[in-house]
Amino acid sequence: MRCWVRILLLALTFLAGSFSSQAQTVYFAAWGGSPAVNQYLQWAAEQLRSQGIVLKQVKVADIAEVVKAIQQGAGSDYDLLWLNGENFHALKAADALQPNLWQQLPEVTAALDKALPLQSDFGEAVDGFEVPWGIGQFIALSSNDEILAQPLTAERLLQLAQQYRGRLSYPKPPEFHGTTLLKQLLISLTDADPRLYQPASESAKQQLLPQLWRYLDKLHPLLWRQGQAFPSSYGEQIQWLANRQLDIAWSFNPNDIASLKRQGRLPATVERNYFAAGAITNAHYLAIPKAAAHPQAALTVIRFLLSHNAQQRKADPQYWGDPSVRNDLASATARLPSTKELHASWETALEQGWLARYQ
Amino acid sequence: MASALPIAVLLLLCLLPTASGLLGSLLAWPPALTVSDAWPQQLSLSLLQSLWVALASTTVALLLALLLARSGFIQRQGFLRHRWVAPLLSLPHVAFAIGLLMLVGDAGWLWRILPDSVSTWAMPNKSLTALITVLSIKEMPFLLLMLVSQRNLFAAEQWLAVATRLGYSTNQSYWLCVVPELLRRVRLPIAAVLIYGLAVVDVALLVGPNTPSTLAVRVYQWSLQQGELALAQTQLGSVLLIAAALLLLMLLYAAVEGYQFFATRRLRRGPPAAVPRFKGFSDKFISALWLILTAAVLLLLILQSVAFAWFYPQWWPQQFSWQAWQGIPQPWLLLGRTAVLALLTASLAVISVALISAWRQQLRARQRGIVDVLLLLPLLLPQISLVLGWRAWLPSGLASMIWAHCVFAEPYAFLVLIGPYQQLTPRWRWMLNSLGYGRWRTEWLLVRGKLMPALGFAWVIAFSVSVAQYLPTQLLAAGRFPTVTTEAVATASGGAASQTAAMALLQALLPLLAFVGYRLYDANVAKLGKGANADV
Repeated sequence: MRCWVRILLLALTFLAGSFSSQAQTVYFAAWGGSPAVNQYLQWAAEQLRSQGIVLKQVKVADIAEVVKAIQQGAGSDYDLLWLNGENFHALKAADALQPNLWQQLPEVTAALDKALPLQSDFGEAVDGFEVPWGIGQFIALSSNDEILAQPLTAERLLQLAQQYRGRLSYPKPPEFHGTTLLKQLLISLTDADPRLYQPASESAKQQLLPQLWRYLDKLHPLLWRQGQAFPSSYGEQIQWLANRQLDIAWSFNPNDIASLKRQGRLPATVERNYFAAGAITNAHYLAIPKAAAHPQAALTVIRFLLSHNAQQRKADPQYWGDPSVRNDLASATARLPSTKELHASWETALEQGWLARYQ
Repeated sequence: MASALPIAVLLLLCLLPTASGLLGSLLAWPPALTVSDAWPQQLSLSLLQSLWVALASTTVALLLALLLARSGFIQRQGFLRHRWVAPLLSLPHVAFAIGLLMLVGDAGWLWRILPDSVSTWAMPNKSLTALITVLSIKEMPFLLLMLVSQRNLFAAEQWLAVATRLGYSTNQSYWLCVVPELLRRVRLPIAAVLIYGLAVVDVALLVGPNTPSTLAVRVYQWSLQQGELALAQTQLGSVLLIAAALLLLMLLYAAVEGYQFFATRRLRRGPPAAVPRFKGFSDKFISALWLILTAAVLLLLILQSVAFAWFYPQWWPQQFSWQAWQGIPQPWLLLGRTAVLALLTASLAVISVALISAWRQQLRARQRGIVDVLLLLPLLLPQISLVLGWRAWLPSGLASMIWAHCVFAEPYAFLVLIGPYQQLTPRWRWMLNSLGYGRWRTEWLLVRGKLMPALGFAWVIAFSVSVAQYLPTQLLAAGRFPTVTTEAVATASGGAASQTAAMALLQALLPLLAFVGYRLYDANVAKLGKGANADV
């Protein structure tokens, strides 16, 4: 009997130990949908251990979950966030983020690439509430020569869908790859109307969005399962592309292909393509919740993640392939012709409009 | 005094959780909703899909289980006597769903070895068909277990003997005499399967439809979104699910009564002149098919987890690699953490259920019925509604999570133990009492002498249930307590086939080990001739 009690006590200590936040544990809420990213963060955790910091990735399907939890008062559960756009706006508006990160990290700020539009996140001023971490560019993946032949436009995509019936699809919005394709199509259909880069007014929505819905009404019957079902995630469409169930998949990482091929997730024949108006390009950021339990340790983590070493490894297609934001690594990864992100307010309008019509 | 402890346990593990979960969900009613045009229609579609999934999967699973249990009642042997079946029974839902998709889903392995023309039979990804198939196959063994455990609890054999002497075929005797009584006796487990199908989230996220998703998945997704609208939608969906659960329970009771009515009327007409011979679709065939399917799923998961760059239409990998296994971060810590959580949960659940079961034996029949329903309440309500209700007032953390795991493991342990406890005749208690043993001492001697195998099996089931918990782990620990199950779901959504297969196997490992351990222990007990062998 005594032996059982001892085992039970041991078990409890073990559980409590693996749960409680130790002095230097940094809980990093980050999208967990990419093994390459997860492995990179594992490497970062190993590097940080020598500095006495235990970095733990809290894998989330969508950072919006965490943003919501923080707004409801769970801020102390997380020390570091990976976010941008809508989610940043929500937390900034709720005054839930640590201010003055740029001043607290002068060596990081000084090394940022001035050629990149890092001061504004989806049209909203960053104001030191978050620190840029990497660059995303929206691309298409395919092994079909026809699809790769020339840069994409909305018109061209419709043509391809007719030619390859049931072979194209995109992740179901509000999954962000799906939403970004909608933005990219909207830019193409409206010739990059300037109102897309302003807060979305009612009149602008009424004039611009119907063009997209009319287009999708034509496109969807030509898609995989006649547009009656969509891939749920980025990963799913990659897998289906590899297994020849789809001829196209979408990605926000311009150097994805190399790392996916290296992991044995895509056949060697897959190449990339992008939209003729330029690939939608945005930065993704790191931020610290105001209520974080270990803000100092979180700052140390940011300092490390933006160091030359860490950024170089991140940009290497062998590992993650996410372009660097440092000026001394600007040429490490080639960037595609780019176009700006829409203002964040369009995101909600697009998602809600899409869900009301097509789900 | 003696009954204070069981009552306290009952309150803590059954009444409190359901009441608080329900209140948490219902107090928010009515939600502040501004109804947009398209919304109600999609919502009813989600609801209909959920109801359909629950009804279809439960019906198929129950029919299969009844077919398989037939030989258990007719020939007093069932396929469960094969000792190697139980470990396959322990395969978690998520792991099984992942494997089944790889086997018969679009671009699945089966279609790679068969000619192109049959590949239209592929189970379509993201569809109701896929969800219903997975649930039917996975729920069948549980129902079978419940059916077979009734074997010695009523005079099925005599009924069969009388009916065959009256001129009914054994088959007719089984369906008309035994099955109505069986259905009445396993109503609660069937109800649990129904509600599970209605409210399942993890499997539906992986294989279910997404335009729109089933109601439970939409409630889960709304619960993760921000804003007033999402909050209102979560509340509305949560309450709708509870209402749907009540509807299904009423339907089930009506169906069981209806079947009994139909069977009785059919019996009154007397045996048919010519007995239709219907032997083709035998239970051996079904059990063989089921075993082959489960074994194929396991083998395919193993193969996929070590395959590198293996794509359709290759039927055999060109290259092999340990990359997927090596890529799992700290697998021992993950396994250890999950195992310790499940160990604690299973021990607490079995101890509390044993306490309640002992106390329950001393109650009158009507009171017993009430206790049974109370004990099973957590399974008769949609899990997501309960967990969301708790989240409204429970602090996120370890204690909440262990408690939630116990709440969901305890009913399953109870379902396993109820039969063995009923087989203990009161004679044993009187005898021991008259020998001068006190109440708790008597109970302890009975447990030691008679119930160890059953308790062991209940422990294994509770352990497996805890390992497979997704929602309580994810929602009550704020994502900060990754277990093999939460990691398996997360990895599966990442879409890397080999990593997903490796995680699915890791998830299946713990329940498998527990079952194997139990088998070894049980075989040992049987060999020594001590104790009653559990009926599995």
